[in-house]
Amino acid sequence: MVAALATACGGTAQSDGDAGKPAKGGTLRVALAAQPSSFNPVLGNSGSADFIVQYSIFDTLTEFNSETGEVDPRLAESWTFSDPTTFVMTLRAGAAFHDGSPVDAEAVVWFLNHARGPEGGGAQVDLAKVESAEATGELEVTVQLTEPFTGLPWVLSGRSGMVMSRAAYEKDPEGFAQHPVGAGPYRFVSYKKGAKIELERFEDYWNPDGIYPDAVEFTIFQEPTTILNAIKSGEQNLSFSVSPKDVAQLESDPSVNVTTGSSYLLDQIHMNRSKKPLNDPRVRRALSLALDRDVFVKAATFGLGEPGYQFFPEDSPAAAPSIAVDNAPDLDQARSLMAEAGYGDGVGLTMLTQTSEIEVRKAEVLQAQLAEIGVELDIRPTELTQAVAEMFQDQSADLFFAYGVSRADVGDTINATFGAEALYNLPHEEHPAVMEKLAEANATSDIAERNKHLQAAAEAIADESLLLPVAFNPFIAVTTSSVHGVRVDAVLKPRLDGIWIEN
Amino acid sequence: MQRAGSIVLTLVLATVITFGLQKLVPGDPALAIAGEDATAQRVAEIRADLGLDRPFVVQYLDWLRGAVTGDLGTTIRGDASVWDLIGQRLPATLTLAAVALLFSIIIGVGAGVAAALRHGSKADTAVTAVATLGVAVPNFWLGMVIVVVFGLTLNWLPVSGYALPWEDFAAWARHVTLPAIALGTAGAAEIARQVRSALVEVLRSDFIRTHRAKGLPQRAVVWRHAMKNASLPLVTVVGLQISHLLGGTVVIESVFAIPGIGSLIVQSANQRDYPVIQGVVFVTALLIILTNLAVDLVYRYVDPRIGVRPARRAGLRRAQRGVTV
Repeated sequence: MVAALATACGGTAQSDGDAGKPAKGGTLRVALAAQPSSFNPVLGNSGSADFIVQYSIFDTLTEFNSETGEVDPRLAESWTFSDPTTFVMTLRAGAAFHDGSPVDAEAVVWFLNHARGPEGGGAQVDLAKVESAEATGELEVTVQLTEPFTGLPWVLSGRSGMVMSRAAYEKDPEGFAQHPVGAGPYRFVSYKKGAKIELERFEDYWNPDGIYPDAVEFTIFQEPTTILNAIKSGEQNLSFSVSPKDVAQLESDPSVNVTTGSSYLLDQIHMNRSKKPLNDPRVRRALSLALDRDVFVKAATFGLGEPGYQFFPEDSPAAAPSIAVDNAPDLDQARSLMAEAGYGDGVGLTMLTQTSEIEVRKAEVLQAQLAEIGVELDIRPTELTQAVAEMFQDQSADLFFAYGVSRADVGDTINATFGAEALYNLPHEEHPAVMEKLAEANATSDIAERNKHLQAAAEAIADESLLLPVAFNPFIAVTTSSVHGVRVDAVLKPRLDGIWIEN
Repeated sequence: MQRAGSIVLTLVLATVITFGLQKLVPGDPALAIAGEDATAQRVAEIRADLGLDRPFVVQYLDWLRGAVTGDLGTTIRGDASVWDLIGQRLPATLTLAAVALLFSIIIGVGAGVAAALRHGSKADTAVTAVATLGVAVPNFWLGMVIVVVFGLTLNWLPVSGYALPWEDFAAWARHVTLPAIALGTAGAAEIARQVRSALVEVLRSDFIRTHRAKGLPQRAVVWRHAMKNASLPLVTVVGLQISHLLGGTVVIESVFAIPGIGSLIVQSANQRDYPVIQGVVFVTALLIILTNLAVDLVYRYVDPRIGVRPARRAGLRRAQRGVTV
């Protein structure tokens, strides 16, 4: 939930020592740190665990490319905005669902209408600006929008683009989530809730080249240490749920491969801007200026992360180049802003954080840094669901230190975080400067132009210090040494395409 | 009749307390369901859909009505029946707890008898010291240590996952060993202490001296006569261990990634899946009550003097403690 609040862009990979020629075969055993919230993609609401499994079962209309920040073709071969409110996409020929029905324009139109309808769950919000969808050819879909929304191709790379089989859904709407049917590279076999998910390769997949394992088994773990042990012992052979603190030790272990890269996973401090003292932008700005993010990265993410000066990473198309410079640590200015706001003698703030050892460690680094300007942080490690309720419903804390990763559509992320109705936006008021820039970005289909407006939105967020970015966490994947082909996914929603197991 | 009343009362109390605790702990299932698209309005809608905006008593009575008719409802997302989930998970927990209990009894009784027979010797001191340590060591820590030694270093046994004995016996035997040791060690230590102390007491008594004077072999004296008299505290401690083992699975199943009801309750608590938590507590409470009932029956088998009339039973207890009225 909070793990999907923030940011967007590129990634650098460290090689996992790939050797030999990719070959089909074997069972890929993936250790998950959480169970998927649902196999029905439009009802899913969780982060990585949902996507890793759902991307395997459901193919998407487009694919987010985290290196360029743009979207690539997938089930949709091409698309265009004939005007800012008319989106036309052409589907590739030959794609089919696991039940044999074709992925054609009618199937996609049904899916889009289903996803934005009353049974659409979270996808309703993603597709709120869709007015109608119509099959204008066997493989052509025309989408009319209520207002300009050029972020739609990015949205279609996520759960709102995971086309479901209409035949399978209508046969058993209630049971679809227990027996999902999509058009992805793997077919659903079985699920023992909270324990294990089994998939097998879909032999009629439209793009069989990069799909190597015969089967995929996802096992759900509760303990991060158990995941590491299971990888080291070879019982599991892939996990994306590894803490930075374990990377050095794993890298020295010849039985495992570690792949790291940069990600959009942002450590951030949410502030309750609806009450004193954080309703004062000077105080928020002072907190930002007091943070030495380079030191934080070294101390808390074991040097693997990157300083976060704005809501999006610096290589994101939405990142404004000026912001990093403006946010360099400046204790004198921070103290003077605190004094100007009437808190020259210091102020006490309560900060919620999650209960894991690493999150508490990070919070303690922040505590030490903010103490320099007289801010006394009372750290309250709190279980996630409870912390969200305390911070955003009860509003009983001043700060909430959490991590969040962007959706593919940066604009969508801005809307979900700073929109007037967003639960995580305290107070629940619209920020005209941010939302105007977002509307301008959504009104142009020219990517360069769109990015310019998104950068302006990022500047508006930083100007008001609406959120306190701290550092971007690394992407980390650990495999047994026989597994190759893992790609860095900066939004931490990795697909299993290209992964193969050495015989 | 009185016993049936007490069972029902205990079950109702357990479920009321669990229901109350869930409501007291902050954290809203509607928030967990709304996820990243949460708006205040959507959260309110979900709360209304789930009936979470109704008064506490109404929600509880609604649940109780279902439970009485055998309907524990569905998960909070409605994607699985609570009974089905428990049915899927319970076999792993029960088979694990059974092996852990067997381990506790074999090791505990063996060590306790050995120590009692060598009362005051170095072996006795060693057993007492190890047993004290065994009771004190947290099972998750022990679990992690044996995983490193037997799983990762020696590569003898798997460190995660589970199989059921009727599906793949060999795989089950390999997967159950380490978690059963981690789970059963504290019980073994406790049983060793109790058996040792009870047996030391019995071995000093007159009837044992008589048996020995009659020339009865040591094995017969210990196992046929002394142990029979020392078995009441053993039955008591074994009964208690069953409750502890069921509680211990919450941690051990997480450490070893075992899909049992212990890990189910952890997952459900994290997701604020109230119906599942409530269902698991209900079933666990029922199991513990049935265990206590079984222990009472075993008491009567082991010592027929423990009988029907409470007054007599109280007198017997005093007699067993050596109290003269």
